[in-house]
Amino acid sequence: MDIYEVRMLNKRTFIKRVPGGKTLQIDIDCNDRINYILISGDFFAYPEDFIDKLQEAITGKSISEAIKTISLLYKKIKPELLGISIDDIIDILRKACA
Amino acid sequence: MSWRLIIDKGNTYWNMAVDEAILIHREKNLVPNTLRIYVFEPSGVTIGYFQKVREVLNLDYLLENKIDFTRRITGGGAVYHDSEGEITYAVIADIEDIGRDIMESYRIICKGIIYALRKLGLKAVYKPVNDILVNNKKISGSAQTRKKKSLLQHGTLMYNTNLDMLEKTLRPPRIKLEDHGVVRVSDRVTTIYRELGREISIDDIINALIQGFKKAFGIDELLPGNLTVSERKLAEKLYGKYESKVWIFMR
Repeated sequence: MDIYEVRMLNKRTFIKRVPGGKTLQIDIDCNDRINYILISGDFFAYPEDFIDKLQEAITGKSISEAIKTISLLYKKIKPELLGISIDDIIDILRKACA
Repeated sequence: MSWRLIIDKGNTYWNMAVDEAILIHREKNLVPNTLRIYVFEPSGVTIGYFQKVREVLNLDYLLENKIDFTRRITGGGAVYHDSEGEITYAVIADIEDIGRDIMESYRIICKGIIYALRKLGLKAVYKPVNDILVNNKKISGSAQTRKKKSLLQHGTLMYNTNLDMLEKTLRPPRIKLEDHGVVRVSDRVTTIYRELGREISIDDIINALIQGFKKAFGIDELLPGNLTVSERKLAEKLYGKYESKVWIFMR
């Protein structure tokens, strides 16, 4: 699936329209670590604060640490995502921080 | 099962504050399941909890024309609530009374709108997660949030929405439009009047919604009521959140 990318200084924006689903946008600044991340879009998450907690939890982490943290948090909170999947978020992170 | 029916109107901040206040009261079992049918007066705009304001709204136009806008506590997309063309509904209920499964609960609640449209002479189709289409164009959109025991789902029913205004206030991402295979917002959105080819009264639409939801939820008794004093007080407090820049520009 094609992911659109827009660059602005250190911050880059990735937009993915999930087939049959919703729009997922990730604004990110990462080099060896994730300095900044903002996840947005017209999807649904239950509970909603899973997304906020995820952002907080991976800020300052390396990409490999971030992915581990996400799967731990996902298992712990057991959120239900509608219109996007947790893999859509991880795919973009991998691409952004490659 | 007895439900409460509230029919009212308010500005953008008040309407969102009332929905949240009812949800919080329902969660504490202080009020019954509630069907609220309301209008935005004046017209306003709401965006989904996860949306970036600048990404989805035409802020210059909104500020220039003094159109209120806020962020909802529910996910989903941006909505233009036309005071003379759109009716909003909110279902606040115990999760067990609608359905524990989230997708299933969307389907059940949206069924109420499909019944309402059928009553008005239109054949509507549910498009998961949250859209209802007539002739392949969106006529209604919904968004749900949940607490531990209760849910709030609110959504739109467009009967005569000014599609030109809708297009001016919202900024759909190009990528989304491409996926839908058309370019203009107004090409993929429709209204009851447009589909019927004539105007009908607001009362008829409200009545159809009431009958539709009664059927969809198997409600025996829907008693007209008002907000409790406590709900009103909480809504007044939440009003401040919904008009605050911190909340609106959170993303």
